[in-house]
Amino acid sequence: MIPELRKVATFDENVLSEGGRPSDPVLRMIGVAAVIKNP
Amino acid sequence: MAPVLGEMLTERLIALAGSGDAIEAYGKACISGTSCEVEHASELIHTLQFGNFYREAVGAKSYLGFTNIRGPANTQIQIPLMDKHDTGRRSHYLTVQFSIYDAPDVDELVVALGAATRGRPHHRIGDRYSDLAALGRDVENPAGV
Repeated sequence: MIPELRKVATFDENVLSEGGRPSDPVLRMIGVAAVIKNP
Repeated sequence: MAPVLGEMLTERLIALAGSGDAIEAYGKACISGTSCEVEHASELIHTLQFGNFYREAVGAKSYLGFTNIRGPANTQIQIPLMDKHDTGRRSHYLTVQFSIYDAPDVDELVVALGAATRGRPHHRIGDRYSDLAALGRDVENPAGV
């Protein structure tokens, strides 16, 4: 697909509480990253 | 390259989030490897050909906040987020942080997109508009220069 693409990584977290108090709704944070050779 | 990456990363992110509507805050980031110029990774993200895939998927028109840095493998990727419709809505000022243990290599680039489904839990900073009202300033010229 992308010739110089080495890998794709994902970060995915659900934050259930903050400062000892529950988060309602839960906060979801997501990151996606591509690693490529400099073309 | 930028559009191919923009499309691929957007597709992956939306699939994880479930839908574009689920994403309330968004942003982007890139890291150039240590033998590269900051410009090299910047070229890939600072173009509508990259970001518009994400805008279309989440129904937004605003600027994508960003970081564009250089660093070795395992440099932390920090993706600053803002509300996709309203950059002054401070409840949604959040940052996605993570790293890839073996990237970027000296001749590699890392390109990333970030998302949040809501604002900070227990957020209690006023928004930009209440600041502006208190200062008697305008959205277009907050410092009145």
